[in-house]
Amino acid sequence: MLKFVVKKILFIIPVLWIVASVTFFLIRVVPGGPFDSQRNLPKAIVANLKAKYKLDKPIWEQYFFYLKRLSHLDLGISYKYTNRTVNEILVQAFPVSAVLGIGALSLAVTLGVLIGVISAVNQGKFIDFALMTLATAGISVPTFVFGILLMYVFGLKLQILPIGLWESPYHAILPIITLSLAPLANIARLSRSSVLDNLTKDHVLVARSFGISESRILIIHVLRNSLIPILTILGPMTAMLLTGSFVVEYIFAIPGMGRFFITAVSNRDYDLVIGTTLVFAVVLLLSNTIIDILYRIVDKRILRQT
Amino acid sequence: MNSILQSMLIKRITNTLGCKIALVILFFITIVSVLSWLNISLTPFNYDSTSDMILAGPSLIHPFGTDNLGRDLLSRVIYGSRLSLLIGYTVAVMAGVIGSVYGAIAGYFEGIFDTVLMAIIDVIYCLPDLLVMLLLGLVLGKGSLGILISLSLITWMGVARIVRANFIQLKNEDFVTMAKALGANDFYIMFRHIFPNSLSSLLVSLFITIPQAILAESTLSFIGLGLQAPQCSWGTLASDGLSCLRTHPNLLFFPAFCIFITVLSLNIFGDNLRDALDPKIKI
Repeated sequence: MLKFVVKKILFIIPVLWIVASVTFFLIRVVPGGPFDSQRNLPKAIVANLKAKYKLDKPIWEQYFFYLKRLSHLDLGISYKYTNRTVNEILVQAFPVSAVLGIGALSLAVTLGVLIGVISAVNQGKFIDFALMTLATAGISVPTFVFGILLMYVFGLKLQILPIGLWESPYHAILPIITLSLAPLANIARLSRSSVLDNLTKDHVLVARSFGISESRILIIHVLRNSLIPILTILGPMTAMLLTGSFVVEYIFAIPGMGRFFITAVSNRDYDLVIGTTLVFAVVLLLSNTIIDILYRIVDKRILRQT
Repeated sequence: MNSILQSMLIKRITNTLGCKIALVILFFITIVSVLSWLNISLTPFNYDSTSDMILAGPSLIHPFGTDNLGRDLLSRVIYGSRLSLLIGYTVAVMAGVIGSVYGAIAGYFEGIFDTVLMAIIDVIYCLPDLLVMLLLGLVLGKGSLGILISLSLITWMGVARIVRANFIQLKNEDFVTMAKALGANDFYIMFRHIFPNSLSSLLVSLFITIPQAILAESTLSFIGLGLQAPQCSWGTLASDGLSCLRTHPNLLFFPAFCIFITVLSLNIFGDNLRDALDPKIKI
């Protein structure tokens, strides 16, 4: 087990290096530079700016300079938010996105599993049909459409919740609900089929023949095994949440990582783009590692194999 | 015999009412979109700037209303369906081709080759989709071709994983050993013996890719990093509609509803296809 954890964590470092390099070269291949949008800038000033940020050097030199700095966990300087380092910006933006993501994930898992279990227990009945139709609809709504729908109904028509910005806990409600919709629907569909699978297993039949109550069978004998497939999709789910957070932060004007990333890309703010990408990659890699470990704890069968 | 099997399969796919409705909707939307290439009195760019035709609500002449330049929204939605659907279907086909070749090679040859190929996929999976699409889209340009290629480059990995798993499982079957013993070469075995057997799960994964691609394109266009005017898809139309949400919600509603109903129909059809072809695959 320990060997496995160490191996997984050691795997993260080369991956991060590859991610940083790919992003570094990709963003530099893109036409347009960081100072192109400021029109009529005298050539001498542009040259000075480039020299200040070491953009006048050959690309290989820039690359090794970036890697050297990165090894000290220094992500560089933003070109647009003058005098702010990328680290400063990310330290501010990350907690916002984290609250959003963790909120949405917990909502999606609790409600999703609940809906899936209710559906599975009532298989074939109307409530199952209704819930699963809703879940299929849930994975078919684009995040931005759902977000705007919520804004329109709760913000503009009923006027009970704020429709943007990030100031009080109330501001988090609509974004979190928006962000959680797609993962929630996915988890509901998956947990339904997973519970159904487990309900027909032999050990459930045995438990039933012993006269154990249905609710006890469901909670103790079925649910635990059904959680394994749900754990496996939590990895892709985290990726989905990260992708969703771009859109949600864009619609609700939330100063999180996704919003900074989008503006950084259109501004060609090289260091900020790579910095944000790296943080996203770290989050995704770490969550995948944690899920892998949890997976082994919940399902003892895998542990025995390795 | 074959035709009986086929008709049984079609019956199994379309055995629910929901799937029948979904197929009818898909058929209708696709036909309208294809017919629009013939340009039957479609006026997505004609504008009537007389004051009462700007931002007009739904009426008999303009069933979906008009936009801020007085352009008929129904025409624009139909016009937008071309790119939305074209991108969705083409991306699925391209992802299918790239994914099956890649997955087939990785699955069939295994060993160090497989490890390297799968490690590449693992690394790309470590990046959020939207981020890769944004960067690739910027490099390839914001035209429809750039979006198409960058979407294909993101979606093929899921297909590759499924095809690889299939190949690993199938290549140890007796009929493959038999073919080997008879002296068939690797490519013959891959494409004549194993590939046809993994066709059903490939088909299922393709039908999961189409709605994903449509959603991704509309999302990219919506946040302004996908297609750019004068190109128009349901995503850009929804993006245009956002600015007058407060006063004219119909401008956002109709394109958004089109995306929703198309993706929903595709998802329902995909679910049924999966249940009919390959009951073993879970979501």
